[in-house]
This record gives sequence, structure tokens and C-alpha cells, in this order.
Amino acid sequence: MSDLDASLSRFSRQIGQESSLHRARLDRAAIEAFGKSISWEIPDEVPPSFLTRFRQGEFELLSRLGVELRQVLHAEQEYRWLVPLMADSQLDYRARLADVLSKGGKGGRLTFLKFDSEYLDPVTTRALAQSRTVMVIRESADGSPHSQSQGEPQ
Amino acid sequence: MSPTQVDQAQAGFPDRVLPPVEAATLRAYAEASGDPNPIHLDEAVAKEMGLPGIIAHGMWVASVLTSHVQRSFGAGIQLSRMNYRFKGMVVLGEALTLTLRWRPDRDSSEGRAFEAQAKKPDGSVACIAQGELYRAL
Repeated sequence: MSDLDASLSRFSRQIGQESSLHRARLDRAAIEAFGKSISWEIPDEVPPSFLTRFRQGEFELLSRLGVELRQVLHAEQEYRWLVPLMADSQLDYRARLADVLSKGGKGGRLTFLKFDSEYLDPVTTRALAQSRTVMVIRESADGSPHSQSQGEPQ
Repeated sequence: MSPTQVDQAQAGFPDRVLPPVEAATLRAYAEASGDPNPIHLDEAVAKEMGLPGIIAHGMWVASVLTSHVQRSFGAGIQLSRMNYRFKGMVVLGEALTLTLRWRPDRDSSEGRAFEAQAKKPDGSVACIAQGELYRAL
């Protein structure tokens, strides 16, 4: 078994693992700074993609898998918003490693890690939003990172 | 949607060209989004990881695209879903062109479907987003 197969097998055994529960507040100053950096122009609304600020669950699972953030690229992201995001509100969230898959790419292996997260109102426990994040680890045959463009999970 | 917005929608939405991506913008985004990945901030780390240099965060590209979508539809429009696929890296100095169009072929019972793209100066697609608006709004 190669090192790559070994790491894929190690990741696959972690499918279903959940992060701890994280609580966050939609801080007004953070929303404003985020909005400014993405050319957001609707001052009374929270940018929907502000949810990307709440990735501690994913980071925790990556760390548990022994993967450094610098090794991964974002391949795909999906959000479902059940209600609008409200400034000053709180949310609870956790991430789950939903799937792991691997495929040959140009000059090397691409390993895709899929994380699902759910965001809940801490008081009512009502679901506010859901996300799926697909990260890709690119490795050449000798295990080093390579410079080909991103692949896609499908 | 107001009748004016519907007319605009039927006529199509104008593209938007962003200024070239700057390191300062990515630093501000990294801090505001809480994404500390150094491949978006540090040239040496990016190259060590086999990248051509600092690349923009995928979610920065997704977010400027979402800003374009929301700006085009107008305040008060509620997104129900967006799926972003990152197809190509964006490096410093590249100016993105943002596009938006309806996708009636993908409408569902709950929402109206649209597609937005962030294109690089060479015309290739950096990010393609499929989304839906809540129909009731």
C-alpha cells in the first residue's frame, strides 16, 4: 500500500466524525469588515457568505486528520439559507466529515474531503442554514504538492 | 420583485468588472473571514505548496460573486441556496468579470434559478455559481 493509499484509508475511517459544537455571534464590526472586503453594497443585510466565518468545525476535523490548512484548496461550497442571517444573533454549529474520495488528476492524486455543517439557533435549536464544503488535497506521485490547476470532485 | 426589476431581469443583468485583485484586499478578507490559510497571504508559502504565487481565497471569489448577485437583484431579495464550484485559481493583479443570468430550466417549485460566473481576464472561469431565490420574495 502506498503512502497515498494509506492516507486515503486513514481519512476514510474518519467518515462520520463530528467536530465539537461551536457557538458564534454575528458581530457587527466583523460583518462590516467582511462586507468591505467583498464589495458588499447593501448595508442593512448580512452578506449570505458571511457563514464562511464559521469554519472552526471544519478546521478542527482537518487538524484531527493531520491535514494542514496550507495543503488544501477549496473545490466546492454549497450553502442553504433557511432564514436571513441577522447581525448580533448567535448560532451554534458543528461540522461532520461526510465523505472522502480520491481520483487521479493531471500529474498526481486529488483527494477530496467533504464536510457538512449545520447552523442552529442556540435558543430555539431551529436550523438557520446548512453548508457543504469540499476541500481538495493535491499530491504528485511522490507525495509532494504540485502546481496543476484545481480538480473537481465530480 | 418590482415590475422594473422583472424588466431588468428579462433584459439580462449587466456584467461587472472588478479592480485587479490586491494583496491588501486578501489580507483584509483573511482577517474578516477568519481564514488564516497562508497560501492567500504569503508568496513563499504559496510557491512552496506548488502554486504560481499568492492566490485569492475561493470564498473571496464566491463572496464577490454573491455581492454581484445581490446587488443585481436588489435589496430584500432572499437567496435560498448557492453552490459554488472553483474551477481556476485567481492570482494577484487579475481583474475578474462577474456575470449573472436567469436559468429558468433549473427553476424548482420553491425557487427561481440563476447562474453567476467569475471570469478571469483570459476568459476562463474561476468560479461558477448555481443558485436559487425564494419564490415568495
